[in-house]
Amino acid sequence: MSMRKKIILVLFLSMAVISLVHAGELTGLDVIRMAHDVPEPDSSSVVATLLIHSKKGNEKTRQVIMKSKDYGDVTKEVIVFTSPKDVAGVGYLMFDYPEAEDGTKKDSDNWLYMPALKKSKRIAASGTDAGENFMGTDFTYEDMGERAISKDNYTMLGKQDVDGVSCYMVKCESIERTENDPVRIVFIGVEDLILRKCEFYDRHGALHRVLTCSDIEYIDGYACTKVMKMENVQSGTWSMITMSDVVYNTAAIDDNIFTVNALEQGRIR
Amino acid sequence: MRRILVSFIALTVSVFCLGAADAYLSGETSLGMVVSVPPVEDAGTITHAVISQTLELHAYGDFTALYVNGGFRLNAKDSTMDLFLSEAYADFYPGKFSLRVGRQKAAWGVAEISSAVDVITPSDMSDPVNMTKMGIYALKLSYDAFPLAFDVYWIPVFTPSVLPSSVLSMYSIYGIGLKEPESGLKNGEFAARASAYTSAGDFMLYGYYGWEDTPSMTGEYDRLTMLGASVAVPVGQITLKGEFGWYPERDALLAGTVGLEWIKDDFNLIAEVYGEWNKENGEFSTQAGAFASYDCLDGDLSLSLSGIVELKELDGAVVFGTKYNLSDELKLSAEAVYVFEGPEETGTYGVYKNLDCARFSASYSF
Repeated sequence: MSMRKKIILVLFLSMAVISLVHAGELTGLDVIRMAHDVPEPDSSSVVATLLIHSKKGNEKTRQVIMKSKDYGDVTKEVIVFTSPKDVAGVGYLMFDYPEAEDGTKKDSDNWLYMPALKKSKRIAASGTDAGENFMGTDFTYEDMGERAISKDNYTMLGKQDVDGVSCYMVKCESIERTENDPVRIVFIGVEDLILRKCEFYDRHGALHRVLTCSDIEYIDGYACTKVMKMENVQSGTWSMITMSDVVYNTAAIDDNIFTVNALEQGRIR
Repeated sequence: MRRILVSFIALTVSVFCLGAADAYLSGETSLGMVVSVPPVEDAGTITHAVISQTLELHAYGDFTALYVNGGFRLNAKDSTMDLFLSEAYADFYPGKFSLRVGRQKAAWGVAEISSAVDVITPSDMSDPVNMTKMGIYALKLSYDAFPLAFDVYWIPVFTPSVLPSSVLSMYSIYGIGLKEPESGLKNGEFAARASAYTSAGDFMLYGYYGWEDTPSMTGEYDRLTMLGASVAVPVGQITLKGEFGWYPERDALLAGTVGLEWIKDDFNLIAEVYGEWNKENGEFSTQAGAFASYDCLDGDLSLSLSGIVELKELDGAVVFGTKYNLSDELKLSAEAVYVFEGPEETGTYGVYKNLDCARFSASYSF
């Protein structure tokens, strides 16, 4: 999964196309497809600050450098912690493979570098299971990745304003219902088709988590959601991811950084 | 030779920092105490009390980096202080080739508990319960042609392991002096590693020609050659690991480790079996080890349990550890170490029976 897909969660479409769209003519699947087909940058570099707010009100801050590059048959991504001190230098290298036409997907290749051990170790794909928390936040790996359109059924629920922006409301129901949150209601901007909000419902149909997106900017022609907040309404915790130093399609993202040696050498900055 | 290298490193650090595009300092202050516990005879005695300050310098330029890790330790029991330099190296990585020169640590193999191939860096065994890797003065040349990678080391200066005081005193009692290999290019050490990283797994070959980092009974450091291989294969939710080393000059000619690692959510489990074949008596000796850890309270509390058993002598050790983060900067930890002996009191681990202890530490990092 690409960085853009992981962190920015989907959000672009040309204004020209959007202006032709009329809600009454669209199904939920149409809206999701349009958002899904938006051109993406081939590579990206981001500094992400993760704010983790516990139920008791304690807050922790984590900062990571994330770089990714889409090679077509594989998306390579590297994540390195820069703070706090006890995890600084810990790095992940992931090779993610696209879903085949028959819906099957090859397991990702994953390596973890621990500076204290002075070596990288191969970790099984289960280390990044879709339903697991992303770096201790209220986000899951699945939230951060691109979900295959074929995994859900879609229902157009109408329109609703989110922070003064008119949005399509689309209900996405998992076909297999194996996820922790098998039902989502996404709010996608009518004008720009950018995700503004997402409600996650658990297997009992109760509201579990709410994602809100803000500070949306265009960088080199691509939309970037700079602030994402995920609130777990059941546990009372919330997490916020703030993006900075966002760079798309730059030659500075060298192919040589997506290697185990580069991870061990601490080249990723 | 060592003085020349240290001078070179100091000069490199100075020059590099002046021209670095980005540099910052970090560090850690820690307080540690070890208390012997029953059934040790002198239970309740504070055996170690150490205050240490570590500083780390990170400096980066274009395709270059510099890292220095050093500090001092104050032994509160006898009011002695020692300075240490863990690592001090410069990196140059203009492309697929890269160079690391200076005092550096390295780790080989895929095993986490008992390695059959990790011979490249010596250990500080002054605290037998908490052995740490030591840096070596080396020049490392790497070629990264992912999924293949090659590393070659030239280690011009021999660095021996730091021995436990009980072992040192034995040499002293028998009047045996430790005789390190003479300094000189002819006594340099060489090492190489070839790696292949594939979706099926990671495969590595190792070669080492140098010196044992612990002395023989005569006080001399013997020649050491090692050829080895390792593999790590992800299978479903676990990673299977294996590594094997061949040591033509050692009594234990062949050594190998097989094991697995499972990481799920906040749980981590490692299990390994290590074995070696002794060519002198034709016997195999094996030991089994395991490590499990679990993070809870939003990652603030970490619990761990590890153990190792020598399967023939039936002795071993168990360590229960806990760490608690008061904040991102301030951390507390405690460990309970229990060493058990088998039928023979002189077993591999049984000889350390008097090391049962509780260990406490607090650290502040910045």
